[in-house]
Amino acid sequence: MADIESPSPAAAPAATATAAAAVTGAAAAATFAPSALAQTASTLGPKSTGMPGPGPFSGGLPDFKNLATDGVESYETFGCKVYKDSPPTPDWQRASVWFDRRIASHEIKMPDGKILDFWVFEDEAVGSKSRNVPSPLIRVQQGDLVHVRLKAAKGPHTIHHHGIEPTTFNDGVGHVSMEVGTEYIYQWEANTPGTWIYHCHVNTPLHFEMGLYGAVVVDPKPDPGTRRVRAFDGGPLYDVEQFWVFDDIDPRWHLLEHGAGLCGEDVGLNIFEPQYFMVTGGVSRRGTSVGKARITARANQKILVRMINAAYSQVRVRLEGLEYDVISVDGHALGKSAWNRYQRVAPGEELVLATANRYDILIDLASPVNQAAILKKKSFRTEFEFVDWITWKRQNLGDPVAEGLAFSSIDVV
Amino acid sequence: MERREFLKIGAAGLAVAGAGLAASPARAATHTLELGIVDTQVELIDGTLVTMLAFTKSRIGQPSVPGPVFRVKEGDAVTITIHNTRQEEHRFEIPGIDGAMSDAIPPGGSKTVSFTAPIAGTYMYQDGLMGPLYRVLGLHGVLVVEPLDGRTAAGSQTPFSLDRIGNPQAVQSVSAIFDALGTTERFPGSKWVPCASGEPYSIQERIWVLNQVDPRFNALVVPGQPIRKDAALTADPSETWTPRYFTINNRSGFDLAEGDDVIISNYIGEPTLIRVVNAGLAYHSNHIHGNHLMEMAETSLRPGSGFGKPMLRANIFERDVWSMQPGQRKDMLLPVEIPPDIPLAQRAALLSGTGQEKLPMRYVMHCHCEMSNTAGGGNYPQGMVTHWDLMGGVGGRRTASL
Repeated sequence: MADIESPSPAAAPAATATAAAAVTGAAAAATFAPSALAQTASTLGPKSTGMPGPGPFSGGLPDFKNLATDGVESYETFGCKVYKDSPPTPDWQRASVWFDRRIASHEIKMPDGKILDFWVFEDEAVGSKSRNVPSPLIRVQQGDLVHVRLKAAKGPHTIHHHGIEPTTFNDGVGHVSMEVGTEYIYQWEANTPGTWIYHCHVNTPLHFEMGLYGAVVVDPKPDPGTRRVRAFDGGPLYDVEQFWVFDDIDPRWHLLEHGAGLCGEDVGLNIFEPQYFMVTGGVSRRGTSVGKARITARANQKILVRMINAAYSQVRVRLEGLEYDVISVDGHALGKSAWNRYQRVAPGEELVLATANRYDILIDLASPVNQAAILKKKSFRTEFEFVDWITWKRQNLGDPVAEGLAFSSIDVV
Repeated sequence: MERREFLKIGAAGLAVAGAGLAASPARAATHTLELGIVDTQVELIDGTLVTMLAFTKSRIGQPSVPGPVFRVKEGDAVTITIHNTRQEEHRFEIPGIDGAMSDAIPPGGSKTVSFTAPIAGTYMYQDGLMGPLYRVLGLHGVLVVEPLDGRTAAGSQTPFSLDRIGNPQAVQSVSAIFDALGTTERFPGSKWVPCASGEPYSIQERIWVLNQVDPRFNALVVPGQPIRKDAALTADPSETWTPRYFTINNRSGFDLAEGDDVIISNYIGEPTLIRVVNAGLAYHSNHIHGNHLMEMAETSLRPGSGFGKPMLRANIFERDVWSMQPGQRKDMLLPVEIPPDIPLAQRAALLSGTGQEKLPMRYVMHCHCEMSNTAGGGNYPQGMVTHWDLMGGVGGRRTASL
């Protein structure tokens, strides 16, 4: 695989710090090909976190016969000895935006002082500063042809862009295509504005739990003139945006090795007993608000919250005092088809997220119900309860350090 | 671990038992059905052998988990006689159907339940004794009630009794979906077509019964003997249930990579109804790749008179993940549309076979509560993992058969 092109820093709109840093980093290491110079620079969306395309080239015909695509399928190739390769990307298209994601290790301190190992997708151009749980945001604009280059490490990995629906070869599931030994460029077109997830699909119970996931956002094209970006095409404008990404952590799992259990060993991956809980990368401590989940807004503003459940718990979300609308479910906006519409959620009513569900909600502080609430108080508690998949009880109930009840606030300023 | 021989007991389980459907949809038919209750040996994906309880299709038939699929029409008179060949009491019930509950069936005894088939939907018959214990050990199956006339105002067929739904918004939403199929730019191709009478599944309809196996509970079932007592284990199964195997139609992992009862292999424009039932004790968060599904109907699990009754949704979400609580039944529609994030410029070549990547496109379906993707504590992805195949473009089945 050869890099034949990389964007020039001058061509990149420095829309975000991440994008600007990424472009600088990539350009320093790149070699230019004359053909690529002739191409016009892509226009990234105003909120894009990517680098302008076309990016590195790796098109070509994979050896499908030596992959799960056309190879022999057996009990072994299904789980224990999955096809691994670093093939070119078939049916190569010119990307308008591209991303680099490299597997890296990361450590996070739990509220009892214990330090746990995580695995993350690092944005290679940014470097170690981008190591985080969740992994760095992949944000693109509707219509973008997206390339995401995965560089595997510590064994094979994949990227599955959850809810994004590309060809099988770009869907990132090893036993129906291949696990990535060294690197692969995933190709898809961002045709549906909404909230998605990307995660590794190798030994998925473990790799997803270890932190190999991040958010994907597809924005609609900005409004002409104002350049404001709506929640989805034809959807509402918003003033404040927040992500609520839920995760639960079983420390026993964080001691397992990459391929634990794959070839028949009983490593207890059927038993999940989380002791720590995170919202948007903030670790919850009993009795303490999670700062990273906090929202501040003015009394007439509209708040868009993108909720992603990356926990194996069901998560019950409650907003004290404020009503809101669910405007999008699993990346598909409501009200665009005759069979659905926004779902109003009353103050205090519970919204439940199954694992990997996403809900985009719009909190309109200017609504009559919310205005009445704001007259009485300015800080509203937001509560996130993590519930076990069998007992239906709150996780880690009664634990003095962290139980499955995180909270934060919406503060009207 | 060595690959063990595959017992196709699960696939056999979806044999149909609803013979004798009336030719005229307007006249109620009579169904006289028989089931046996037996124990049976089942080999799990890693070679582990467990004993399960199972229904047989008749008094002396092949045991199958899940039990045979019954298909009846709304208003039909149904009589089911259950013969208990085991050495402990059992009881037969169908939550959500009034009158469909037997008295306790003593060892070696038989009981009969009779009821009128209610509003159309997906129902689960089960053994209701010992809480959900006998159900998860294998005594469960699906009863499909089809509508007398499920057509929308515009004439599209649906699997629901639209004329008996009290909520006009639900009728409007469901009608909008079935009317859109085959008539809109997004959904070119065919309408949804109901399963032919007497068949357990069809090209456009599947039944997925989810379950889990905790071998400690199976060890209580001794062939030919009364079930063993273990109060500590069974007093509150929600506290002690530690499943190690996660199944659809009693198969998992590689065994779920085949079998027409589960796998959908369709062309664009062949929308497919998936009736999903969770017979187990753990919740599932099923995730499908390649297409979002419309979540059209679910089951009321609130205690009270509505318990177990199917409910049509007024606000139908398109989901890539749908939750399945224990006892839940959902009717999901896989539209079988072109996966929307395949680049537009690539689609023509893909569908005509001139691109580098070829059809069929294989998309997995698995539970995203990822513990259920394991078998025996590891072995990813030998758990609740299967797939569907996108075979080709609109009308491709006709071309392929020429």
